Amino acid sequence: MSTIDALMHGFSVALTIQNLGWALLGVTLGTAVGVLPGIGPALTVALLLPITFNLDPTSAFIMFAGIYYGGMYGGSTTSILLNTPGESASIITSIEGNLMAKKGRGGPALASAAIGSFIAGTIATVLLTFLAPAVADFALRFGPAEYFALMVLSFTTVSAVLGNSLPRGLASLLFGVALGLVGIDTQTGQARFAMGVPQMLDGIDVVIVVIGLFAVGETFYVATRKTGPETINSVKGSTWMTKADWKRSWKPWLRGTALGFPFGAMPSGGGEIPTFMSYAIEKRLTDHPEEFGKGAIEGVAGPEAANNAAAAGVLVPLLTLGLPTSATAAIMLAAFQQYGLQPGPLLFDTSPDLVWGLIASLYIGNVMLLVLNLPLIGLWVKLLQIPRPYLYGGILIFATLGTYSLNNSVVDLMTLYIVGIVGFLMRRFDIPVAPAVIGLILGPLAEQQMRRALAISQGDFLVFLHAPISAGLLALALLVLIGPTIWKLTRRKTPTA
Amino acid sequence: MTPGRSRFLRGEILLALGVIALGIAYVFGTMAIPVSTSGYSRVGPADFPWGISIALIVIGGFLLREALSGQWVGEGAQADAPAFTLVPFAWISLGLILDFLLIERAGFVIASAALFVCTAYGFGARNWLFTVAIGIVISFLTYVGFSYGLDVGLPRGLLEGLV
Repeated sequence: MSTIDALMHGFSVALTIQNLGWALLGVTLGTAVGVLPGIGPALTVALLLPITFNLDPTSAFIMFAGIYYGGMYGGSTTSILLNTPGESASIITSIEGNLMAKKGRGGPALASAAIGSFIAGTIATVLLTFLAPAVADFALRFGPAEYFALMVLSFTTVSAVLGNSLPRGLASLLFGVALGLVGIDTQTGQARFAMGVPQMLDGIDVVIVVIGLFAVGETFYVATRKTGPETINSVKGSTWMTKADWKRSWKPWLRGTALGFPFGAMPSGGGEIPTFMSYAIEKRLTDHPEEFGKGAIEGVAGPEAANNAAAAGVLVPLLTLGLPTSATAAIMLAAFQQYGLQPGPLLFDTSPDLVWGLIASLYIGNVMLLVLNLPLIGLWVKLLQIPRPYLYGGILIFATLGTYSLNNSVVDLMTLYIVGIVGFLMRRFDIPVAPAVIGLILGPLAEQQMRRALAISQGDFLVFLHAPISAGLLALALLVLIGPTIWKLTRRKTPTA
Repeated sequence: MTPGRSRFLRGEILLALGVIALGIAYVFGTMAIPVSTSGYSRVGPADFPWGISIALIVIGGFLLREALSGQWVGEGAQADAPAFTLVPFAWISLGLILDFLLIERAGFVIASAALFVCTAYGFGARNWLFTVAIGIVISFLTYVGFSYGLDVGLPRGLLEGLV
């Protein structure tokens, strides 16, 4: 089946009334949680996991994908209109976007962000459509050693990229991997780290960890900071972009897409780096350098496009290799596991309905999001006006509800509280949270692949170095770990450089 | 560094020590994993945990170095950091603790309303009557929606008997 045929089949799945409904629900929910400070797509999918257990997997993933894309659109609205940016990937957007809104140009800023997101999202989805089957084909050659090496590379890059320091990223990652070890070892049936608590034998559910770190930890963090009152910039004047705005936006959109997609598609992830790079490039290439730092539309258009293209790129390693490189991708991998599915090259053969229905729904979701975000922007701004005490009170009600409904267990609620405190400390002391989630999901899979590879080689650890692909990936991982230090050392020796 | 911050009892240092302690705890946990020596597989259930435990201790050491050298500065020590207060932390903690104490005794609605009120108070809501009313209404609507709409079994108590 050619890619085009497969995609057409995907559209026939995604265009049923029922699945269109799930997509609409997903993008609406996604935009709402993207707009609301304190919650994001990762948390929302985690909260929905316990109650979507009985749903058809294809429909569930169409909804999750809508939440994922919608969160990106909603996040840009908040970063432009509110003086406190939401998720980290939209911090850059908030620099120029917020200044534009203050000058009464909030409308064009929102429009440029939404249209840029649409264009970037659509181009990136096209790239995903044609790249994913090729990567999946290539990945068919991978054995356990290659997968293990790939996961190690992903661990190191994720730790290095998501956060401000490698040791802190690694500490977060290892914390997640360590939590993932708790419970019965699936290969031998031995209990590990359960400390005699029967509820721990099943392991610590990823849903509880995500809700604890993202909802409870975030609530603690926001509550304990005495910041000044938030100001919401109102959308005054014309919402529509002028001819000059279009002229200044289209190149940054395309450049942002070109930067964002490859970054997302590499097994390192992170939507932040391409947004920073896009901002720097637009600042250099603009015809209006005097406006940068005062509200330049290029500074909104480029990073927003990069952000969305990266989000689509992240789906390449997730679907073709089962490798999550963002917190939301990690929780989507957990969702696959809930349905007994293993993302990877075989998924394209075993569940074509799901994979291609999901990809097709991304095209549809992007169109829906453009419609939801341009004319209905006033509605989303209203969400920003919910008083913080009631917003966070409500978030915690849903956090405890989602946790309790997993196993109807009070022990889970206690675990939630403890993980929440850990999440609070991590936020306060600038330790990135996402590597912990990725480690928790990917850790057990990495162990499985490592033991498989070693079982085949009869315990010979050199197996990871014999296969060229695996050896190359491990060498890259080592480079990520010690490369920056070596670079610094060599620079110190030659101070003139 | 802000004056008055202890040189050694800083959060960054305590966290680094915490990571090392977690690694040491995992070493003991790993040693407690029974490993059969007669099995076919040469890689047992303890090998990967050994690696993770040791990695935790090593990374904890790097964190400690970062903390002591002042490269790692959490928000509390930054000059432009907003003021910090633990009072809301205590209120929200109370709410979460009340929630897991009450949920199976008094039912979902009362437990969630208590959590809502404590959290809102921690965030500065001072209109008790209004907050309690909103808390009960939201919890009740959530209960109805999830029990009847989505068939999620939530614990029933006093107020749930109304529907």
